[in-house]
Amino acid sequence: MRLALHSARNARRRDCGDERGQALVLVVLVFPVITLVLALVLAVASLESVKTRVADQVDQAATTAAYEVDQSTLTSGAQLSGSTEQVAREYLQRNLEAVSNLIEEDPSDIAATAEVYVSNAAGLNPITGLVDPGPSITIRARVSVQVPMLGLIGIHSVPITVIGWSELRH
Amino acid sequence: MVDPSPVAIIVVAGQSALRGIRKLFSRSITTAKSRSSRRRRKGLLGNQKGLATVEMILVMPFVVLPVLFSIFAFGRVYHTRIVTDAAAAAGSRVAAVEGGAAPDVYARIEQALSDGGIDPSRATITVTGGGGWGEPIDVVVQVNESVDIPYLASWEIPLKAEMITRSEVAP
Repeated sequence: MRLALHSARNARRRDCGDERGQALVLVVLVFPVITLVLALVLAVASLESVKTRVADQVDQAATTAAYEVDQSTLTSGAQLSGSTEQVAREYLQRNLEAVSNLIEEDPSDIAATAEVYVSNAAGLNPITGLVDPGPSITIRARVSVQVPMLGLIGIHSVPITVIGWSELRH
Repeated sequence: MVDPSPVAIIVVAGQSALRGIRKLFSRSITTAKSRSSRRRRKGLLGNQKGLATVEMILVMPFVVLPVLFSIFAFGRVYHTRIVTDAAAAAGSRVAAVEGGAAPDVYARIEQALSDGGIDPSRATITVTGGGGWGEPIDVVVQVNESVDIPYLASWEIPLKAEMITRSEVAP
């Protein structure tokens, strides 16, 4: 008897379009999803922002090192000295220290392990995979960027690779 | 045929009138009952007339507008960030060529900020170091970006860009 009454009440609710409890379902299910999506969007944007900044610092190191080149060696087309690479690493470290609060590793470790390619002639660049029009310096650094917002899904840092390039002019 | 007496006529008429009145009252009572039950049913099922308006009034200023303002504010902060970085990079290049904190360095940074739509008077520019060949030069540009989100908060975000280069000028 009770079962019959219960099912009749349910049927009436269905017929009348009972929408009670829908708001609760929306709040409980949809709100966390929207919050997570919003956090993800902000995290990706912040990651892009940090990547741009780190890339600027690597570019700055490449440009600074480009002026270390000995002009007579550059003109002669001979192999460039290792001091260019040394300056590139030194200024990569100095510039990364300016954004050290955004990266996981120590700037000196990043600078020590970065790939630096100095060329005194036009040709295929092994780092970029492109053909350089003339003498150039290229730095490739691997940096782990802190992304606090992605901590919600268990990701605390994202590894990125940035390349800085500068032309060496006579 | 017996003529009905006046008393009988009055009695019959009275009975008929009573029946009519009873019928009339019973109908109105039924109508009132059914109206009240309909209202009760509506109350139980939730009368939703005007609910959308109330929801709109609550949701628009307290949810939609802050979200829209947040998106706008985030975009503006991101734009300022990019312009500040670019200004610091441009300034450091001039600083390297000039050998340190020359007026041209400040002018170049202010120009870069102005080109990016940021008032240079809002920026704090610091150039230190330099001098001899190969000496490091530190260029720092800081712009405080204010963020105002209605019903949420209003605060200032310091955006600092720092570039380190070396002097290319012989003493």
